[in-house]
Formats: sequence, structure tokens, C-alpha cells
Amino acid sequence: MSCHETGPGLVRGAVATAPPSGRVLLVGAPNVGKSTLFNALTGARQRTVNAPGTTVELATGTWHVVGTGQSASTGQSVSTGQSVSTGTAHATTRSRTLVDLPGTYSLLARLADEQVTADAVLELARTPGSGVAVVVLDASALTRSLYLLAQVARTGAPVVVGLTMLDVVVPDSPTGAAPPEVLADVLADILGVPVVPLSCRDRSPRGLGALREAVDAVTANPRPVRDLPLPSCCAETDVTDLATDLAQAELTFAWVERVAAEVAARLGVATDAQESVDAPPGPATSSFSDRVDGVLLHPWAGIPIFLAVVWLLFELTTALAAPLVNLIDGIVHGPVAEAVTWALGTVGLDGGWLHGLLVDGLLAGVGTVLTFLPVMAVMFLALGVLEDSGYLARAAFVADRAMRSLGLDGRALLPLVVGFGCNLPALAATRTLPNARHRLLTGLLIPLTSCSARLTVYVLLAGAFFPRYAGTAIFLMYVASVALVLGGGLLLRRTAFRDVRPEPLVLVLPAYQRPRLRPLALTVRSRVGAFVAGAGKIIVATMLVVWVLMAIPVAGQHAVGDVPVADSAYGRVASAITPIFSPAGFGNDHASAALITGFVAKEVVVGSFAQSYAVAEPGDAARAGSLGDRLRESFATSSGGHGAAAAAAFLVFVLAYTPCVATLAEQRRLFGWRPTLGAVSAQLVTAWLLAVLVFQIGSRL
Amino acid sequence: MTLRDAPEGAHVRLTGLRLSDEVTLRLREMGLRPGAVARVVQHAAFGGRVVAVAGSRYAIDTQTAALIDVEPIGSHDARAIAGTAGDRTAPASAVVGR
Repeated sequence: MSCHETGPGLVRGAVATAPPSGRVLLVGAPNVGKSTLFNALTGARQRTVNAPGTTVELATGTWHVVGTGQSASTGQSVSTGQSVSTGTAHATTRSRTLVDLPGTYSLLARLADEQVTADAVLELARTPGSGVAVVVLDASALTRSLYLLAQVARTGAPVVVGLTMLDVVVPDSPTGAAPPEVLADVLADILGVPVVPLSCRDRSPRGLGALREAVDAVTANPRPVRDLPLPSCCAETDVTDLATDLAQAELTFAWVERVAAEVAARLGVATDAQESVDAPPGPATSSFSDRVDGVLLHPWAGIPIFLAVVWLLFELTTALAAPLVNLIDGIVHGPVAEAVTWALGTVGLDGGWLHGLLVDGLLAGVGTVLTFLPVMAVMFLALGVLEDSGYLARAAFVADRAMRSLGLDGRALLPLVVGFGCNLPALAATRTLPNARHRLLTGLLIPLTSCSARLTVYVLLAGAFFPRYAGTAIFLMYVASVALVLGGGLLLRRTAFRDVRPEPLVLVLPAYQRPRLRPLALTVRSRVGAFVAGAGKIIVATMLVVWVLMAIPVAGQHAVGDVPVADSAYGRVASAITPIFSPAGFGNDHASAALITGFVAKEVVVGSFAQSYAVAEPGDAARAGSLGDRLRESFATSSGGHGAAAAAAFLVFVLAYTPCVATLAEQRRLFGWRPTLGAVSAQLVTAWLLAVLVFQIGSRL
Repeated sequence: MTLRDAPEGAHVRLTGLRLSDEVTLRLREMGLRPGAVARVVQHAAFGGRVVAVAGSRYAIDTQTAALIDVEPIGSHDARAIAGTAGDRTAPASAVVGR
């Protein structure tokens, strides 16, 4: 039993030089409570970043510790360092970088997200003294957790074990009934590494002080997990095949069985491996989660409940967020704009181009980013609640059949439905998909969902060109949107996404839990911050470029910043691309200028039309009035008398091309430039082809 | 019989996984290994199954459930499965073996 000197003993050489601070990686299965622990340890000192060179998001934070005083009574004081206990030998301030790695059941990674975890652990193992891996074990699913622990320990990374899910009642778990401290002691004794029972879901988390001491101890004196089978000679090479993996896994499974059996023996409970046919399991104890699932996963009730949840999410991002959006919009364009104008006035700079640049360019851009904040925050919060409560895994199961045809996870249905409200929170919702390829595929399909901003354009044009069938016309746009998503999905699966196949769906359903507000709030803050930093800059920059183009006069005698659209550089660009739209019947300057503006945001297309015809924007877009007359006039001219067909083509173009610069910026943040620019090109080409098709058919009817 | 055929509330032992090596490995890593005792917790929409193994709950789609071979445990279960495989009205407590 005693093989203390085997395993990653090399690491010990680094003890003397080990720095007092270092990285702490949180490794564990999905839904094991890593993020809750992370939030308890870092508090507000955290941010969401992409793992280098990937589209996988990580949360990193600072675990700030003062001294090594008696274990703090609350996690609050540990995480904020208020519990200063002087007089001990190591009363020094240290901070460790804490990384919340993507959840995985195994270091034999199949997905990009799991690879990030595997790579991070390997890197830690290869750099002795660089830090410690805290492997978070689920006390109610010990064998599964021990397998991951064995894999992490076998890399040679110094490990500390955190034991969670101690407060979750799982009556049929072999180890569920054992008192946490007893279980931790037994495990620590068998494994030979520190095991810390953690309870982070309460207002005063327990075990954080002990975890800090354990991490300190292991940093100073790394020790191997006892009796672990050694990796074979070839395991260190990066090239491994499935056969090697399987052979390695067998050894690990055997170790896990031995440990589980020993734990069970010491606790005096039976493991299910020992149950024989003659002695069937005890009473079928259904847990609280089973009873809830009896309703939420019911063959008939489950689907309507899922649809209701999706509808609620849709309503939250549209109806609930709308008043907040209006409020922010009003403040930015009202008091703030006035304040800037006043401030410029006091230094004698009002009314000039600087005023335009600051108020119409910069402030409008910042305002746009700000108006998206409530939507994004509401989305992140709602997703957090769904995730933490445990329903998200059920949603993936219920919607599995619906998304299977696209090769996607059932969870992909959520962002796609949200996209019909606003594409931006829909992109945010892709983060619930555990597979990076699924996230990308879903993220590329989301712009094809017809968001509510596009509805304003539909209402204006349908009212002007199809007054008797306006409702039907608008409905058809939504049908077309769904067809585009399905068509686009099937096309992508047969081309760039041949690797995305429907896979066997086997999900671990976490026990239902009540979401906690504080960790949720911290996560939402961190994610909204990442959105502002990543996408916000691009949005503001684009708005500034558009303003500059609109402010530069290229014809007539105008001052910079006070130019009619037709005489501005912007107008020139619009005129230049007008001929491109001639085959689609809307090759007029008004339409092309509106489409360029629509690239920034679809909400402003109607305003752009009104502006370019120099009529006041109608309060109710449906009663188009003189704007409708002007539209009919110019569309009839550019289409050779087939105004209605040209308008239909224009609507299809608006549906299919890039939704807005914010979506673009968020796609870039999540997926990088290459897929984003590829998607934009594809959207423009598709939109143009479809518009030409609609016009060519429509004008011949 | 396969996991898909097992009635709600039945206790079964997983005997074989007719899936690719890769998927089999992942299922083992998640805790679904041949020899494990499972309780069929629920039949869900579209033939999906929820099973309990060692305290964990697993959601399995219908095609995968049909590729997992199981054998019933306990005389009550054996009778229930042999006789009224489609009978979902039997309460879960009726298939308790011990």
C-alpha cells in the first residue's frame, strides 16, 4: 500500500524555491460547485477572459490572503482579507491567482473546453512550484470524482482536494449519508493529500480557511496521491491514441474501485459494485430532485414547461429590459447630452464639429453600449439562475430531439429563440453550450433570427407597400427567418461543420438547488464587464467612424459636421454601392444609405429613410403618410414599376444581412475576427442573392 | 433487454454498452460502467430515460438507451418486466426487491 516515493516525486526538488504565491487551478466536473467556491474565494476581484488562443471563457480572480491566522469565521473575511490575525509566523499578505477551469469529467479531452482544462493542468505539472490544483470532488458522486482526481494527480501537479455537495441530500448515494468531516478524514487518510470539506452555498462559507492552509501546505511540500498507478512511459508524449487512453483508463478505474471500496468499508456502507443479484438494492428512495423531475421531465408536461421557460427568457430580454433601455437612452440623449452641450458652451465650443463629434459620435456610441447593458445583465442573470438551479441540463435533455437535426445540443434552442428578441443576448446565451464548435455554429446562425429591431423596418415597408396584407407580410418574414436558420444550419453542417454530429446524449443531471444571489451578481458583473471591454470598444469606434463619414462634406459649401446626407462622404459611399442593388430592384440612394445605417443598427433604418427624404420621422411607423408615398415613389423608379417586388426584396435583404455592429463586435469577442468576417461576407452574399431572387421572381408575377 | 425497455422504477444491472470505444470510455468516466446497478427513475419525452446510478442521475436519449443492455434485478422486477413491461401505473415502491 505504501508507495510514497513513487509518482511525481520530482516536484519535491522545487520546494525550497517555491514562491509564497502562485496559481491555484480549480478543477472539477460540471456543476460540482467550482464557480460557487471561486466566487466565495475571490469576491469581486474577478474577471472573465478567454483562454489564450481559444474561444473558451475562463473566470480568473485574485485570492487575497492576509497572514495565516486562525481560519476565518466567514468566507467574506477570508476573501476580503479583513480577518487579520497577527502574531503568527507568516503574517504576510499574499495573493494567489485563482482560475476557474471549464468543468470536465476527464482530462482525456474531447472538446475544446475540456482541452483548456487538460492543458492548464499539464502546464502546472510541468512547471514545478508554479501552483496547486484544487480538485473539487462531489461527495455524492465519489467514484466519478476520484477518477478525475487520479488523472490530475498522475500529471504530477500538486493537488488539494475540496469536497463539495455535502449539503445536497441524495438518499441513494453510497457516501451521501456520511458526515462531511468523517468522509473527509477517511479520504485524506486513504489518499495521502489534504481533503477539505467545503460549504460555500451559505451566507458564511465554511472550509475556506482550511482550504487556504491546505494549499499553503501543499505548495510548501507537494505530495503524491497514495498508491496511484504510474503513467506509462509513453503517457508524457502529446500523441496518444484511443487504445493507449483506454489502457490508461483501465488502470485508473481499477484504482478508483479500490479507493471507493476502501472508503465504503471504512464508512460501513456498501458500494453498488458489491451488490449482487441476490441482494437487490434497498428501497427506491426518490429524492427531492426526482420528484421535481417527475413534473419538469414528464413526457407530456416537460415540453410545454420548457417552452414556457424559453418564452420567459425571451420576454425578459425584450419586455423587461425595454423600459431600462429607454431610461438609459433618455438619460444619455437628454441630461447627459445637454450637460456636454452646456460644458462646451462655457468654453465657447458649442455648435461646432467638436460638439457633433462628442455628442452625436462619441456619446451616441457610448449610449448604445449602455443601452445594451440591461439586456445583457438580465440575460446573464437569467442564464445563471437556469444553470445554478440545475434546469439547464434538463433543458438540454428536453430540447435534444428538436436540435438533433442540426447536430446541435438541445441547449442551442435557447439562444436561437432569444435571438428573435435581440441577437446580442442570444450570443451571450451561447456560453451555456459546453462544446466550442456548437457555440460557434449557433453563434453563426443567431444573426439569421429576426430580432425585434428588424420588425420596425418590416412594419414601415409592409405598411407602405402591402397595406392590406401587412400582417401576413410580417408573419412571412418570421417564417423566412426560421427557414434561413434551418437552411443555414443544414448547409453549415455539410460544409464547415462536418465534425458537428449528433452524438449520444448522456448528461449528468445535477440535483436541483436554490440559486444564490451573491455569486450570481458577481458573475453577472464580471461577464457584463467582459462585454463592455470586448465589444463596447468596437461599437463606439464604429459609431465614431460613421459620424466622421457623415460630417465630412464632399460636395457643396458646408461646414464640417453640418452636412446634408447626400453631400457627405457617407452619401457618396451610399451612392457608390447603389448600383449593386439594381438587380434587386432597390438600387436607389435612399435605400442604400438606409442599409448602410442598418449595418450599425436596424433601429435606425426607419430614421435614416425619414432623414434622407427629409421628412419628420413618423411617430407610428405603420401610418407611413408622406414617408410611405416617397418610399413607393423611389422604389417604383428604381425597380422599373415593380415597387412591391423591390420592397419585398429589400425586406429579405434586411432580414438576412448583418444585424448590427454590436452583434458583430460580440461575435468577434466570442469567436475572433476570422469567423466573424466570414459570417459577415456570407450574410451579405446570401442577403443579396435572396433579394435578387425575390425581386426577379416577384417582378415577373 | 435494453435500458429503453426497462419500466419506470425498475432496478437493472448494466451488462453491456454497444457504443463506440470513445463513447463507452466517456460513459465510464461519467460513472456508467458495465456491472453498475441502475434504477430507472423516469421515462421522459421522445423516449428519453433518466436513470440513477450510485446516487447520480443520468439523462440518456432514446437511441443511446436502446444500445445499453441491461438485466433486471430481483424477483419482483423480473416478474414486472416479463409480465407488464408497458405498465407504468405500477408505483415505484412495488418493485422494491428487499
